[in-house]
This record gives sequence, C-alpha cells and structure tokens, in this order.
Amino acid sequence: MLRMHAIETSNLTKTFPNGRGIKDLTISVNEGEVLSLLGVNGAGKTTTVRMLSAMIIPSSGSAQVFGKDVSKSPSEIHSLIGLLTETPGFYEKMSVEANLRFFAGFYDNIDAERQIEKYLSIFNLKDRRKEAVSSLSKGLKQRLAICRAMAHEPKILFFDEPTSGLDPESALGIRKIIKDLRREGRTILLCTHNLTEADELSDRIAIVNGKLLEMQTSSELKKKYFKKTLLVKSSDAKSENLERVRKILSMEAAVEDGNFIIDINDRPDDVKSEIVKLLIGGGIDVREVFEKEYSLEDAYMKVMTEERNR
Amino acid sequence: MNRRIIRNIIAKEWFLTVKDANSSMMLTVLPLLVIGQMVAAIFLLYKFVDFGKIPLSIISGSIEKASQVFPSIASLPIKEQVLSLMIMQMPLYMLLIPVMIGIYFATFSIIEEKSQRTLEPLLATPASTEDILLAKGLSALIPAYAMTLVCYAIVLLSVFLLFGFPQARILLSAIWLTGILVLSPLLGLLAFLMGVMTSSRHSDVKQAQNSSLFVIFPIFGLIALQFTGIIPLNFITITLYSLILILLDSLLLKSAVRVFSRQRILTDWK
Repeated sequence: MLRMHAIETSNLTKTFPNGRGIKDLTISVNEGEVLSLLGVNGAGKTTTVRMLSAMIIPSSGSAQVFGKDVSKSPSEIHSLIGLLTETPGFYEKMSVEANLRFFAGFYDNIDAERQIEKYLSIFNLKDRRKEAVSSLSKGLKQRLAICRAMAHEPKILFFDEPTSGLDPESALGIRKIIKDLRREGRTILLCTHNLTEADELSDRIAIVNGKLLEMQTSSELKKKYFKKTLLVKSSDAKSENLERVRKILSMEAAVEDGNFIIDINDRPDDVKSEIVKLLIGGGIDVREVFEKEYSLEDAYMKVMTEERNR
Repeated sequence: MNRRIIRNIIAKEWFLTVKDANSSMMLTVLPLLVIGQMVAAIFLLYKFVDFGKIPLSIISGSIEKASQVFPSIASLPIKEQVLSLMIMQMPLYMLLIPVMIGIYFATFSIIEEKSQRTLEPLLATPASTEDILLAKGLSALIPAYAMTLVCYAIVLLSVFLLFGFPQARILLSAIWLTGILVLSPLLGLLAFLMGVMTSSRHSDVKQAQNSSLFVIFPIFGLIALQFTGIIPLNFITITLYSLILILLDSLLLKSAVRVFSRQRILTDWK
C-alpha cells in the first residue's frame, strides 16, 4: 500500500531580522517514519518544528502536514500534531490529571477521560495523578509532557530535545518511550543534540545549519563520508612495514595508533578472511581483525567541518 | 469562536485563581477593603466633623453643580448636602474595582503563562487567538463585574442603614446605575486589554501592571472630571463616554489580537 507523506516541504524558508532561521528546506517524511533533525544551536531546528506545527508563518516556500498546508489550515494542523516543546511547561499548581484534562479539552474528537486513563497507565503516572505537577521530578514532567502531546492521538509527534537536561536514567526512560512509539509506527520528528540518541531512534537523519546539509539514513551518511576500512591489530604495525603490507595485499593501507588500516571500500564482504590469509602468508603478525566502525557523530562532525570550510 | 474551548480556558483560569492566595485576595478582600474604607471615612466625617467650622465657599460650587444633577440636594441642610456630595463620589471609586481586577488578571495570567512556559503548548492546541483572549478576558471580567455589583449593593445598603433613604437614592439614580452597569464592564475590558498589551512587553507582573496603570489612569481621570462636576454630568455625556469606551475597547481588542499573534509570542516575547 502506498504510504502518504506525513510531511512535505518545498523551499521552506523562515528568516528572522537577526539573520537566523532556515532557508530552502525541501524534505519529505513518510508516515510511520522517525526523522531526526540535527544541528547546532540556532541552526533552524526549532524554527522548522514551529513552522511545521503552524505556530509561525514561513517567509516563503510551502509545507504540508498530512496534506494540510501549514499556512492555510493552522487549526487543522494543531489537531494533527502533538508537540513536546524544549522546556515543557505545566500549570504547576494543578494536578497531573487536571493538566491533562485541560489540554485534552481542546480536542472534540476524543473521549478525554479514556485517553487520560490510557496514557497515565502507559507512562506509569497513575499513582501520581492527583499530585500537583510541581511535586514531579524533571524526568516525570517530561513523561507527562509526552503524555500530553499524545492524549489526542495526533498523527505526528514533534519532539524538541526530549532528553535535554535529564538524568541518565530518566533519559533512558524517555528513549524507551520513543522506541516504543516508533515500533507502533508513529511518525515522529525529533530535534536533538544527542547523536547517539538520534542514531538509535531514527530511520533517517537530517543535518541542518540554516539550510539542509544532509538527509539520509545513518548508515548511508557514514558510508558517504567514510571509506570502509579494516583494522588489523599487529605487533608489526609500524611505518617501516607499511610498504610490505601494501605489496602483499595490493591494497591501500596506513598505520594508525599502532594498527594497520586497510582500505576495503568497494570490496566484497568476504574480503576479510582473504586479507588475513595473505598477511599471515606474508609473515605479518595478525592478532585481531575487525571492520572499523564509524559513529553518527563522526559523520556529523565531517558534514559540519565540510560546511564550515566551504 | 469555540464555546467548549472558551469554557475550558475559563475553568482553568478560575481554578488557578482560587489556588493562588494573591489572586483570591485581589478579587475579594481588596475591593471590600476599598469600599469599607470609603464608607467608614464618610461615616466618621459625617459623625465627628463640625461642618459649621468649614468655610463653605470651598464646596459651595460643587454643591451647586451637584444640585443641578440631583435637585433634591438643594433643599437639604448643609451637613446633609456635604454628605450627599461625598456619597456622589462613591461610584467613582467602585469603578476602580473592575480596572484593578482587569489589569491584575490580564498581566498575571499572561505573564504566568510566559514564565511557566505553558503558552507554547497552549498555542499548539486548536484554540484560536480570539478564543484564548476572549476566555482570558471573560475569566477576569465576570468576577470583576460580579464583585463590582456586590460592592455596589454593599455600599447601597450601608448608605441606607447609616444615612437613610434620601441619601441612598443618589446611588440609585439612573446616571450612577448606568455608570455601574455599563461603564464598569467597559472599563474592565479596557483595563484587561491594556494588561494584555503591556504583558507582551514585560516579563514581570509588577512592571506590566505599572505600565497598564500608567495608560489607564488618564482615561480614568476623564471620568473623574465628569463625575465631580467639572465636566457636566448627564445622560448625554455618560452615553457619549460609554460609546468612546466601546470604540476604545474595539480598537484595543484588534491591537491585542495582533500583539498576541503566535509568531510574535514565540519569537519576540521575552
């Protein structure tokens, strides 16, 4: 079955008098996809979320959320989205359930009480329902904020820095919630500075810095910016043996941190055993061989460095 | 305009007002203190001041103007005439009640939303700007109007019990009834809208309230001039004044909706 685009933008632009904002953003996000928006502070992540949630009007270009134009149908967009803001605020003197009831009260297509029950159970907040929000920890408030964003069953969720400022345990809890939502097939746009989190939770990554720099899966990004290399741990990994290794393998090689680094880009997957055989046959000591792993952070840094040098 | 959304916001505003000691006091105790003090001051003056020793030339002009509006005053003894003059000022003070409450609630509710960071999630709901402003306005104006009427009833009863019906009749005159019933909600709305406008510029409740008062008092001063007899007081002027207030309220409502735009709040409000 052909899936609808949850988000579709074309040259979406918002500029502010201070020069910040985002220019010519053209992206599409599929229904059920988790897209992480990465970038430095002021790169335009929150501006993008605010435009897509019909909170601010684009300077130019267009954006549709489930086919609704963000500039023309703000009220309909607000019914379609669930927003978790960077610093989720609550009416601190009101109880957990009173806060949820208040926000659920804006949507006419839901049974508010049933939804509140459902999400208080899912997010383990049932025991705290009568307590004032002021008594909750930051982690619990963040859980409550996700609960609030989901109570009206939005078709798309915008999460702006969901784990920012949380202790590791609370952050882990929030990541688990997002993973569960992903498994359920929810469409999520996630803004984060945490690259491990983005790698773990997203289907695709968009890197922005006032404009879109990259938008691919994490593995595609790593593949694009880094050659596939094999790391060989060896007592012979010294620069004087480098030429010998190159001759034995007929491949490009280098010495880095006391290891041989062999370029295996565009080589078949079983090249690893062939290399080991050749090296041992050539009299090179081989202790351990593994493919060098690059993280999303490595790819991100490469993208940003190239952008800065441009 | 969505009634369910408006009811939802009003219920929340009132819940928070009850939960907040300052807001509850502002809504109940302060207006009662204002009118209690006023009634007590007039009673003490009437009871203990020897009006024979006061040079009557100071107030004779005011008594003469008051007699033009309320002819029954002319035939009263001088002590009663001075009392009537003082009672005539009372509705003016009662008009302060919706102004105080309107400004307080506008600035408090909006700046609280800003400081608690609840404005963004609120603006992300299907509630329109008009719904939000109307609900916040009504949540301030309904109790403000109700409190003005309660205070008016208390003052009326006190004047009747302390000074008798001839004096209480002044407060029941059509001019004062119009003042209380028509001008008080219009002034309350004006104060509220002014509060919304100034709240967009400040992040501190006190600063916003001071700015609102600065703007609202010249307007209030005009009423003072009218009610004290410097500007002739009659049905034409009071109707004219109501119309001016309706016009001002409409203009301010438009400005407040513009200032309260989502984009401005999210990008400009600090």
